[in-house]
Amino acid sequence: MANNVAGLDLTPQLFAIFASLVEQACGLHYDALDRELFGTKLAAYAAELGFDSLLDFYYRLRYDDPDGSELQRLAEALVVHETYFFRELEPLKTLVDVYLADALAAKGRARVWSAACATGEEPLTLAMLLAERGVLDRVEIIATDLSTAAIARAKEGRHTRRSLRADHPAELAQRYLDRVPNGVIVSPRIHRAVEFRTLNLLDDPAIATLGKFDVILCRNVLIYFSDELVVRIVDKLARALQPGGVIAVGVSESLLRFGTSLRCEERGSSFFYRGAT
Amino acid sequence: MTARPPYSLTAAEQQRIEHIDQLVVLGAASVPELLAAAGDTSWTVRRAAVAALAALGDDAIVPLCRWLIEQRSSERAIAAVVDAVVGSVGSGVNAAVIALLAHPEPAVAADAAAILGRRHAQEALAPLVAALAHRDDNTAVAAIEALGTLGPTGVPAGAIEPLIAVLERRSFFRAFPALQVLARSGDPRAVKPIAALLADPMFRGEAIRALGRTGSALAIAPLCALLASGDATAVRVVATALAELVTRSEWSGAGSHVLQTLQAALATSLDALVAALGGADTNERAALIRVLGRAGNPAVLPVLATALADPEVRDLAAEAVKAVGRGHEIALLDALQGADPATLVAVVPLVTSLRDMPALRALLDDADPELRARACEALARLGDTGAVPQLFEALADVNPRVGLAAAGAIQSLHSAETAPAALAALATGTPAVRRQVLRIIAYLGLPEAFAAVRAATEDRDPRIAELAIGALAAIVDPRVDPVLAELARATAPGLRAAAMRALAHRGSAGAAAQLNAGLGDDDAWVRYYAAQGLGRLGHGDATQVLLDRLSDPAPFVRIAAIESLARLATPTAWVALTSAVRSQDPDERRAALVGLGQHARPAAVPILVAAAHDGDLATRLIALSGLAVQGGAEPIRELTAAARDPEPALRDAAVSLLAESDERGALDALVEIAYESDLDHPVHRALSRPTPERIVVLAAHLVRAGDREASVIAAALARMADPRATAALFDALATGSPAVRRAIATSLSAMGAAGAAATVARLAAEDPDPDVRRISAALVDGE
Repeated sequence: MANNVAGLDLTPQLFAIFASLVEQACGLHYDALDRELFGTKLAAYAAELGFDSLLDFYYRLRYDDPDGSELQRLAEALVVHETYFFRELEPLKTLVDVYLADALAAKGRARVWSAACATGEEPLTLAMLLAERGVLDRVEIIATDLSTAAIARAKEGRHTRRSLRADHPAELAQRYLDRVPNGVIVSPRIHRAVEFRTLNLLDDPAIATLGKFDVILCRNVLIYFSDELVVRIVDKLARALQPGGVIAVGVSESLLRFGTSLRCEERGSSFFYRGAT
Repeated sequence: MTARPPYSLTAAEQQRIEHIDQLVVLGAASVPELLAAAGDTSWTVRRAAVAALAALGDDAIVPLCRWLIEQRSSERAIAAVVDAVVGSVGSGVNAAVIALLAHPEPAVAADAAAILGRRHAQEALAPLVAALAHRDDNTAVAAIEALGTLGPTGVPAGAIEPLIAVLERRSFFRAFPALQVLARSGDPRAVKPIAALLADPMFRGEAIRALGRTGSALAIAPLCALLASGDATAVRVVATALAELVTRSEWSGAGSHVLQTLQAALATSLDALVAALGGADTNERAALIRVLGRAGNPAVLPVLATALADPEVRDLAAEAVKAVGRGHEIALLDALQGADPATLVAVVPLVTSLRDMPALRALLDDADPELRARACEALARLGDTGAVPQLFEALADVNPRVGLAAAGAIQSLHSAETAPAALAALATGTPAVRRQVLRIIAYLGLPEAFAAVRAATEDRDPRIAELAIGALAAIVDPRVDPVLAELARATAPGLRAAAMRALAHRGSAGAAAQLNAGLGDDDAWVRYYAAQGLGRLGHGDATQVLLDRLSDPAPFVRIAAIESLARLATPTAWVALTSAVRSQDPDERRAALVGLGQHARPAAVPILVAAAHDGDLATRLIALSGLAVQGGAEPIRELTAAARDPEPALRDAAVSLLAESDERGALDALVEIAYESDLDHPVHRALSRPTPERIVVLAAHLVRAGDREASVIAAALARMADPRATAALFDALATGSPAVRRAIATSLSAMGAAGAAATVARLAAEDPDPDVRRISAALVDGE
């Protein structure tokens, strides 16, 4: 029998049909540059299920998955994004020092949504910054992700070594993170400050239940969607803003070419998108 | 959400565009009204007017030129009229615009120059060169820029010396555009005059960048001389230019020669480059790392290894480490003790040194699953059979990616310890371990495992039982066949399905009968693997039973039947495929297309051609593969069209398929695509693979190439780095035109080919064409 691994090679044709299937299920868009990483994750997942041919696995998903749960689980396995503490820290500081400070001054309380938080390092970093400014207890932080596995890990409060990169701010890490043999643990106070939930960004009713926010973080996520879906998602996020609230995307992302109703603002060297007032 | 971009037309715009469409039919009589529409406030209406005027060709050209002289009502309208002339299909356009170039009004002359450049009007060379001396700076600049786009590399050979003269006069407004055009020209005569500008502070920065764009080895010495300045900012600018020079030289086939020259020139500048990393931005760090990698000095490896910790330049640092590290024994992992996991993940695939094996084995216990997986792969790559026991332990990893990587590594390494370790693990391991071990046994076909594997077919875990059935099929032992026959009648459908797979792989006598029986199973997956199996066995007498499965209620069974009919390749199967290709189900259509494309058959061509234009990407890719098998003029045409498709997957697939073809038409198509493509188009890489046939065809193209083509072909032959290709370049000197000799002289010199110096010196002294002599002289001078 041939090497089973060879049967799990992702040819361009197979990539095209799997990518289409996954995009239909959860909107994630993969292009040619993603093929290798997609193939690695897919092969491991399919092999774990007992398949030695990706084409056989594709037919299973397409024709023998009546409630779509198998496809949903595959999408979850593919979707875990790399994230880490203190990633793109300067824009987070600006959000705390400017936008959230304004909201707190005006209303006394503020709400933040970290959309597509993966294992939670981003909202936890934000919580640390809020704690540094003594306002953590006045800000409600909701963090969501499509992946139930990622949210489960976020709720555990235990993170891998990779969640702390070489160039992290030592003082903040010392104050709020504990290194343990195989990773990092967040201080309970910080961990309690974030409410983690599973949510699909394409699920309008679920988003509506979250309420309105002063700040929405959707960083380094939109790059995984097609342009058409980005427009739809940004529209949903904009409608979840309080009047004058802001959306923050990744430093290498821009919403300008999508022609949204949001107004772009530059603060320091970071860009934010403000909703209608 | 509001304020969406204005992509849709208003009713009024739509009406005006429809009116324009009606006007075109009137021909020349419509020109005045179309000219008025060229000034419309709506961009989309203006575009329609431009297209209409361009389509009228010679009927419109005189009024268009007159409008540019007399009316010029608004900038918006001027731009539209210029676009219309640029796009005009008339045969007399260039001559009319050349006449416009002589108009006394500078704005008109400038527009004419711009139009000629955009039309690549090579017959305008002389008047554009004359316009370099125009009294008006704007007109002269327009002429400079136009000359930059006339030829294949942008600049015709006859424009080089006049542009150099503009450069040397150092007029502020004219010298900068001339510098940029000359830098892109690829002409070696441009290097020395550009390098002379390094001494002028006003031009130094731009001259540095321009030297990088030349891609010429001649530019290396003047650039590297600046590295001794002690100014870190200047060093970064130079490094950026050197990085670009290296990239461009790789396209022109001069990569090796440039690399050698660069390594010699950088020998005393490494410290300056390393020092300049501090304070550099991302792009500058990337350039510095690239150059340090090309320096070929192992002393920089620690610096490059540290750069792996920087996520923004990690991939480049990895490339640079590979470029330097080859053949150098350096313990990369030792150098990165305590590095963060993300850095180590980038480093592990680069490890080539046996000295790193202990560190790699230690990574099998790392907390990071990706590191553990990559360590497995690296140990297999290094051939560390001593790691097999640890790899067996890694089969128990909680992360499936790691388990799969460990299994793959064990399969690759296969030492004397493998079989006993596999049997032990099969007996005592966790379910996850046993599953991986069964895959290993299936790959290696260990005869001593028969009893254990046979027992595993009765395991309560269905995944283990099914994998055990698969493993049995690989074991050379007469006891296997009756066991499989019994399992084909097992109670559990999963086991029966696994038995069908195993029977097909094993292909023993009697397998066909059992697979036939499987086609009647209640379970769809049993029928699926039975149908698949019959195709694998390849017995034509299975055609009818497979045809019967085309009406199976389960779609994937129908697809398996289609796939198997394709393998059988009987006339009846063919008819079935041509019907299945019209199915409503896209997967059935694709399976049928794969089948139709497997064998060369004229009747398949129109079906595959139609599929090559399908809206579905996977369908188009399958169709292209099928067309490549068919061969012939029409398939080649379709592949050529796909090689120009904006979708990268299609383009890359089509270029690869054309490159693999033996047909002359395919190679001719690749050459045509190369003429029109940017440096990073995959066609250039495809053309550079040396085969005797390819060299002969390219040499034939070269001999009759004009300016437009010669540099592209010469560069392709140079990139081959093949003695036969180099010989073809020398041979073409005797039979080619001046354009060919210019291109060859540049390529041979850039390659540093043996005998090139003498040949180029001879051309410098004796060639009948003055440009060939001047280019060659510049090359000799530079050497």
